[in-house]
Amino acid sequence: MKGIKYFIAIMLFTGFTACKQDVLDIAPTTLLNKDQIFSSEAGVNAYFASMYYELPVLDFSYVNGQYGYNNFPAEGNTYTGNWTYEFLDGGPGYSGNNHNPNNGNSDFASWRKCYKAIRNVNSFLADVAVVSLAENKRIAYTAEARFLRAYNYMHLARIYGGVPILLENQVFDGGADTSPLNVPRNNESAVWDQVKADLDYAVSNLPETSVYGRANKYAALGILSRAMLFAGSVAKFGTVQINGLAGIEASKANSYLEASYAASKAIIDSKKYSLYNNYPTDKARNFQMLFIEVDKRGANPEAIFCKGWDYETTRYTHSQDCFALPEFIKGRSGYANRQQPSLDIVEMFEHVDGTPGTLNIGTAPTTASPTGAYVHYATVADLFKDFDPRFFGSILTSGQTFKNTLITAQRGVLDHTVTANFGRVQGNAKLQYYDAAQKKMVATGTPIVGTGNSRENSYSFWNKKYLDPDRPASLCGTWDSETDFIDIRYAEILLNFAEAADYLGKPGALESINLIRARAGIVPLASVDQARIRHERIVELAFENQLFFDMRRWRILTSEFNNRPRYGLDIYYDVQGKDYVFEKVTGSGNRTYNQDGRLNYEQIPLAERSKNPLLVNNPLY
Amino acid sequence: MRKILFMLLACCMSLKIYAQNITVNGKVFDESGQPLIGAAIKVKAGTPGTSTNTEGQFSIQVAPGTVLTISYLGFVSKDVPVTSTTRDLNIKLEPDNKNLEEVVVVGYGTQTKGTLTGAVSNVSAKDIVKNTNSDVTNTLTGRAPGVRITQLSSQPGSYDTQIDIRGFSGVAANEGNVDGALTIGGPLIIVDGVQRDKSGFDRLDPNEIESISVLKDATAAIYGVQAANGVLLITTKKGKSGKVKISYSTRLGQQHITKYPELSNAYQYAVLYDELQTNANISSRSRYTPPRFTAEEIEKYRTGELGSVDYLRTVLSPTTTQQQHNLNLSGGTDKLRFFASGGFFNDGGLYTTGIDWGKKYNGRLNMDAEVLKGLTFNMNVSFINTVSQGASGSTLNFLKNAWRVDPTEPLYSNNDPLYPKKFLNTQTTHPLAEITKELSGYRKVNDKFLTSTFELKYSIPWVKGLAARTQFAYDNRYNLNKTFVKRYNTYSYLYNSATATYYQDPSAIGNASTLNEPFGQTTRKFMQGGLNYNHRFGRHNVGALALVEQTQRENRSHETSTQYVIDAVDQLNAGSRATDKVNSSFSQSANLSYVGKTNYDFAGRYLAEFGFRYDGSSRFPKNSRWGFFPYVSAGWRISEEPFIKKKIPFMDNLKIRATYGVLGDDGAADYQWLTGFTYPGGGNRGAQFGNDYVNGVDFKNSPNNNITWYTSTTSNIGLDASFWNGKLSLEADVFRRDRDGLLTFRNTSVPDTYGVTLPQVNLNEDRTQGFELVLGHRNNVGQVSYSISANMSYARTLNRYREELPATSDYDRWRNRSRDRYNDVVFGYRTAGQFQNFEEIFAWPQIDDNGNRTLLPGDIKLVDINGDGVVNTLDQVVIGRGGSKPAIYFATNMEVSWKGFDLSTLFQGATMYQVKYEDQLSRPFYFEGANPINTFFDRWHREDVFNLNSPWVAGRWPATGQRAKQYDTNTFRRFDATYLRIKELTLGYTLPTALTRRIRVDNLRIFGTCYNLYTFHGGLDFVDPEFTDDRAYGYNYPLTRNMNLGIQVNF
Repeated sequence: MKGIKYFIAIMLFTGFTACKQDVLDIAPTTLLNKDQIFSSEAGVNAYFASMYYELPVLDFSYVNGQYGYNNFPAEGNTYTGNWTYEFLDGGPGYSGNNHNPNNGNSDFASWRKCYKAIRNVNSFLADVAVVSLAENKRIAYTAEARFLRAYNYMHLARIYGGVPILLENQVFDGGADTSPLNVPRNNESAVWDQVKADLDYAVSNLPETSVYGRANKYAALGILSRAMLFAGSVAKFGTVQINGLAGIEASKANSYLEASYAASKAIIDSKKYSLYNNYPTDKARNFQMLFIEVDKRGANPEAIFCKGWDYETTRYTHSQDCFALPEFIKGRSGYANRQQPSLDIVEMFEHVDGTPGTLNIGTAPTTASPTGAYVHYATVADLFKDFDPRFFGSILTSGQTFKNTLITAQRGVLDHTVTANFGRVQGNAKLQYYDAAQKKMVATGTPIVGTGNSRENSYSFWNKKYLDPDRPASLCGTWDSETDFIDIRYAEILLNFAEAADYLGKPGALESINLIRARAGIVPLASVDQARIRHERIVELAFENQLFFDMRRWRILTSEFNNRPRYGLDIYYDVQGKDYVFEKVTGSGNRTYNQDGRLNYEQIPLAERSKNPLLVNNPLY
Repeated sequence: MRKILFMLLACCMSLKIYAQNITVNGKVFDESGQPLIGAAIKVKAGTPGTSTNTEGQFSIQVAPGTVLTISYLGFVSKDVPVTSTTRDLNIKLEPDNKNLEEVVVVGYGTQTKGTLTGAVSNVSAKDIVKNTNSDVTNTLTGRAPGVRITQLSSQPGSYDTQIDIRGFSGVAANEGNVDGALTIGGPLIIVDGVQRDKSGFDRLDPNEIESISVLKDATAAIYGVQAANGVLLITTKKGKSGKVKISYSTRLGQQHITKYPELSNAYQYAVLYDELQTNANISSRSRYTPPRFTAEEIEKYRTGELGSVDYLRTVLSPTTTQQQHNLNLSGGTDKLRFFASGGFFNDGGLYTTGIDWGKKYNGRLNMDAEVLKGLTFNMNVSFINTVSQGASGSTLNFLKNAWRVDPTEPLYSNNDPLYPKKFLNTQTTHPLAEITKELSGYRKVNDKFLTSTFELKYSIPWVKGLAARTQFAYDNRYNLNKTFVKRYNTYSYLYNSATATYYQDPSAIGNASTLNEPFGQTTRKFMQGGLNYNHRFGRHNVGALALVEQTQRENRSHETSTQYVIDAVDQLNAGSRATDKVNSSFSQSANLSYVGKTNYDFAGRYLAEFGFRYDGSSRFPKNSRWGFFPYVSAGWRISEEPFIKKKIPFMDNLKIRATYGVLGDDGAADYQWLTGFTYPGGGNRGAQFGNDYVNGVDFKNSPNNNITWYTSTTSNIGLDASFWNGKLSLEADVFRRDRDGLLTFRNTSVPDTYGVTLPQVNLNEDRTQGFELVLGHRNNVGQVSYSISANMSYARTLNRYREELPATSDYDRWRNRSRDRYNDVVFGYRTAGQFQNFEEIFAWPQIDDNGNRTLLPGDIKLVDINGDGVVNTLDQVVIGRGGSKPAIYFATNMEVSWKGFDLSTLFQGATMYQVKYEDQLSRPFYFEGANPINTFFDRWHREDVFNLNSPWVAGRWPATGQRAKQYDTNTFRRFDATYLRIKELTLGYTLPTALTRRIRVDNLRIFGTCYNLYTFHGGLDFVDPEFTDDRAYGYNYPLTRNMNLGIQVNF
């Protein structure tokens, strides 16, 4: 019995002794240290994967003025095209999200995101310099990281002008005084010089080829070409403001342009890339498939630097199809119609013979002239007869077939026996078919041939670039799309080359432009000037998030965009004539914008200015 | 004289008839000689009793040898034997101080209510079983002042309640945080001495609970970790020695929706839709849009010639059923006692297809054994399994979409029930299909909770009063959550002009069919060893406690999902391997604590206690992981002083008590003191390299080496009083809690150029203050005994320090910063009613930046506070409270019993709070073409929608449409969320024992009970006012009123 007492004592004692302090030392299970990262190629790849993820590539994830995978691309006006005349506003019920520099959040969150990305690159550069590594690898890694840093600074400079340049990471002790972290802005030219320095290093030290999605020598040259053209244009067309924090002295223009010219020329001379021409007999399809046959869909000789997306295995996806598709063939999410090309951009496409693309539609009846003078076309497609094949590759409109569905969008019908509204009977989302007997739009019943898919607003055009023609509409929801994005394509290099050559008075501009026109399938030009080069650029690179920044560097956003109503096209089916008539109307909401000269730079985020008094804001804010 | 003779004769006759009976007269009085009116006199054998009259006298005829039981509320019952010589009885009843002797569970022990010094509320078993909701948290509503419960849903299987004590939780550590706000947890939950999760507590069977204590002040510090938000101590039932008692209770009932918005019918919809367009044509002056519905169509909708569908009715049925069963056994010998219980709860859902339901199965075995003299072993094992099913989509999205459907749209394409209609507006899902398992799939949640506690206690024989104890607990929770989303078709009835035929054109809803199966396992191991000492030396009572305890937690989960080529089989292995996805997570944490406590009282008059806890957490780095949390408390029972006792004899108890202490919380994210790379990075943080997607890393490159506990310093002063043997009682508490070192992110003050997601830092400070009051009264009137207890609590939190952007001006500081400001203030426009006509509109300061030309009669007059002629953001001022929770909660409990009947009610309410309606509750056509709730038909409008010159007709809401600033936060659109709810009403009847004995039943009670019976509300017309936090935009699963009938039988 005594033994049991000891047993009890031991039992009770274990309660005390079982508790040990080392239970509190729990090692993390998902945290790697620097050495674990650099000890394998896979570790470095993972590090690079994150740095590429943070790269401000203006692709499908560049939405709501922000970029990055996690931004929900809702509510349409997602692309910079809405900040120019490329697109009309978003759909009905959409409250307007146009570029508004007065809005404290209009900096596309670029400030925070880019500095975060830059810090990670700088950490990498600091680490790669000290870890034990083969020297050739150390140099290649450094070159690639500097390419990524340059890309981020390029984005910052395009948005804000001069920004603080941080090449080494700051150290913060967590104390109350944060003032040692406050750094002032550098001059805009200093930022572009830094971009150039990083890219020059990358060009010299990156390999000629790389795995898809990662930078090589030519990707670095491509970004150099783009960045230096931007800097050169700012110097050439802009003015120096706030002591050079915004704007660049005109004297520096040529050196930047020379750098761009040289970079473009190096790519052209390498003969590694060429204009995509897989369907030489069907130029429209050729231009459409240029944006689809990338990576797994087929080799694309034009793609210099791409960002890949993938649905099947990782759902690393975007939502381009969901938001751009016409309502009638939209996916399950309910979104559609979010990228509506304006009539303005439509008419910039020429005819194949080089004549301007201004549509011959006559005039609509008005109270003053009740008869009007419509021009009648047998089919909608006839209106766009002999248009630049790039139009059919870039823009969807009534009369085209897409995803095996004929697009029949129209505003309504023209019935000459109806007196109200000059015979125009308009449909809407619910009432789409014309009942000739009742003289009204109906939802069901026995509609007449030639009507269908009416809508309140003048939706006649949709962006077609990067819309996957083979993806069933039911698989076009949010986060369902996996088309890759070509960030730098050879055509842009040719256009950059032509533009720089023209500014510098060097030869080669005409040849470059005509290469592009020949591929497009329209007549070559006999001569080029600044206006022709810009025009070609707008048409070729439409809806690729370029025009906004081009207009910004050309310093024409104010004159081209302010107070400018954007136009759409109404299509009516003539019930008696059994043909179609057209009417030019101001786009949805009839909104115009007036942003003074502020359009050239975003404001430095308000929160940043309040934290860091050294930051001088951009002019006119 | 003849009269007297006659009476004597009558007496003789009666004596003859009841040969053995004698008449007993008596008087009942209290210790001071005051007669007790209405005292019950019962005869034990079961013959009818009587009660005392206004002089405290009674008279009864009984047989000699019987025993009379005299009872009176608040006094100890007395048994008086009647002998053949008994005639006049003078019965003095001794006051029953049971109320003060009531044992209350406190930190690591029990105390009597009389000697309690902390602010502790106690809820007893009898109140806990009254609730008919599956979630046991709801039983605390209104029962304990300062405990604030919000029931968020009646969805079966959701267990969706919020609980906080004195407003001590639910505060996001940093609202401005860019990387996801962190919410600080609710109260610490201790079941049978061991920390357990709220989800397990929610699911406990009320029949298994003996009591719940709520520690609200610094005395909670003894529980250290997370005790800063208060502690709930739950004790489960134990067996009592004696014959095995069997108790069975069951309840069957119906649930009704308490309150839910109603949608417009097709006529109202058509009218409002046309008004929207005509109003917009005027106010926005954009392109003219003709009205969608013609006058003839509207008339046809009005007369019903054209159909209308109530989509909400289609998917929500107004009632559903519920049932509950519990069987428990208890008994044992002196050496071995047990309590065993088994229960089943079945909750029906409100969806018309019956897709949603919840079931709960639970079992428990509690055993106490005396192994040796002085050595006891105790074991509590419980198992709970909850299973619930619902629609595959989220409730929020489902209800949001069901509200949206245009009521002129028929349910089926071409009215053929085989073909769900493809709706013509932007809405794509079909509400009925979304809750049809065969079409859209389902979600099934299966939770299993195993909790076990083992304890050895040994009274050490060498030292009197010293006991040693060791405890071990092991809990395991499995969670399997299966969501099977099926792709289904909606149809359009279309005309094919080529073949001149009509056909049903399918349109797929949903991507490929998918199955997602997350599986999680949480285990917790707990160990404790301690010594306990309690001894009385004369009038000195001394107690001490020392213990060490350790908790280890482990969370493990993996989630597998796949897509289907053929979706007939809802199993993972039927999916397409190319689309499989796997995710997993694993985490561990641990706490180690040393606890000490000592208490002393002198003659139950002067009370003092000191305790501490030294706590270590694995969440913090070695140098800052330990926190020391001491507390002191003291009490003075003034009523025990002899001079008071003499002077104020009717005062049973008067006690002043105070506590002060420091508590801690380790609610921080793990490993914030380490740098490195988290792999794989979250949220698809990677890139496509070549043909492969490469996982990236998350960068953790700024550590906080000093991250540690946040502390909360709590003080509480209380007063307890009780008079006339508990007929009147009062409890009052005033408290303050200062929290320091609340975790926040420095991102708001560190420039973004630094480039880092900063770790949390212990920086913010706040202060919560408030008071609680409980008033009680109980009495007997005749055979009716009743009690009323009313309580209220008030709490409000001030942000003493907030890490935030520096203010750029005094105005900016006042308007946009939250430092030194209460956390519930709401800024907005003041309003002055509605515009009655255009003259008023044009005379008003400019609201719309357009000379008020876009405004219409009925629009809200926003007040130009600064008088600059323009209404803009500078005119926004503090207009009320919101965002947090109501400042005042109150409740009244009432109990009445008469003979076998018992009636109890609980009224509960809240005030000092306003709510803004969100989304579709806020305005008609919040989404394009969405069906407005029908309240918006009561609006300003033109008499004839087609005649723009017709006169305006007034209504409650402004004219349909969106006009400048009308929906910005303003007093017109914030509604008083005050409510008073009859939370519970129970009426029971216990059958007379004489009757039940015949069927060998000790006790049989039948009862009816209502939960959420009726609500009186302040300003909230179409939502349940308990949704005080604007949650889910109003798209809540409805709350229900539960009406139950039940039987309770004890054998």
